[in-house]
Amino acid sequence: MPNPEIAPQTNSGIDGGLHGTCTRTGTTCNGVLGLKVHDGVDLKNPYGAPIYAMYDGIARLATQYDDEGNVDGAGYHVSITSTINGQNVRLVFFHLQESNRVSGEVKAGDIIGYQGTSGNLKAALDQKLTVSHVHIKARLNGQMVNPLNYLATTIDPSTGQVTKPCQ
Amino acid sequence: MKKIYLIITILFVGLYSCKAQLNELTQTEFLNIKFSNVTLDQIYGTEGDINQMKALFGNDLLTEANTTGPSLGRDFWNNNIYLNFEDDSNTGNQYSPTNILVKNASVSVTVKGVTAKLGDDKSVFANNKAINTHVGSNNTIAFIDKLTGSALLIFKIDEISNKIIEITFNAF
Repeated sequence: MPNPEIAPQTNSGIDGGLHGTCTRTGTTCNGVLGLKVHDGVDLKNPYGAPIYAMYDGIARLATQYDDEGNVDGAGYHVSITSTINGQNVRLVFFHLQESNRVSGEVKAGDIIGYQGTSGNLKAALDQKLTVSHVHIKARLNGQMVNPLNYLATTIDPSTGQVTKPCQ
Repeated sequence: MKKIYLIITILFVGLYSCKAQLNELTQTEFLNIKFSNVTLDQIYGTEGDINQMKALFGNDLLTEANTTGPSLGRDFWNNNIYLNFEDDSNTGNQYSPTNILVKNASVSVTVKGVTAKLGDDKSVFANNKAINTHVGSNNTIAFIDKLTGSALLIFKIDEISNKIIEITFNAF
């Protein structure tokens, strides 16, 4: 994904795929009642497209379930823990296909899985609320940070526009 | 001229068919969705607090941490309903409902003044003119919060019997 694009929330018309925006229904967000922050970024990615490790690291597979064992929420996902500029960073990639995910030691550029519809993405796609995308979360030393900080492409965090393409 | 009308018609039909067939809810309508007598507003208000959730759903409500996701999660369930909360901040004090599943017909769901439960015919919605009863993708009647377009109440309909076979709430 050399120059990724932010996935929109099609029904509302807002750039819901950006990190840190009050674009989700919740309790409160930046003092505004009824909203919650979107804690990751949604990058457009067609079904079946490969997803690559962004950094060297250790990959771990996981699946989110409800109480009856149905795949839910993040669905089939892969988290990769890396050391970036001396800091401990964990990047998590949501909504993958179950098969062909990779665990263990990975190198930047390795395929770690393929775009799926797992978790709550399926219902959103069924109802045309968004387009196929990978949701990426980032945690720096355990704290939530903007995943855009770790892309080779520079994307304006407030508009979602590419300001410096991947070299 | 006829060609222009034809092109406009095709474009219009194309645009319409691409748009999701959803019933939009104002914030008030959305927060007034009821699971039996409990409103979504009340559920949000608990922020996943165990005692407050039991006060709403009864002392038979069980709870357990859901550790399968990448964020802090908390499950609540009894024989009739399942509710999952997540705290994306991972601080433990910002739990918000992300998934609700109605398990049986003892839980009725009210939206826009219409009350439905598992096993009801989809025609329960047709009597309310405020609701677009178009059955959308995968035979569902879906309601979305107009404010963000990120939370769905979905009634899944059986193609043959036209009965409601699944009721779920998802906040993305």
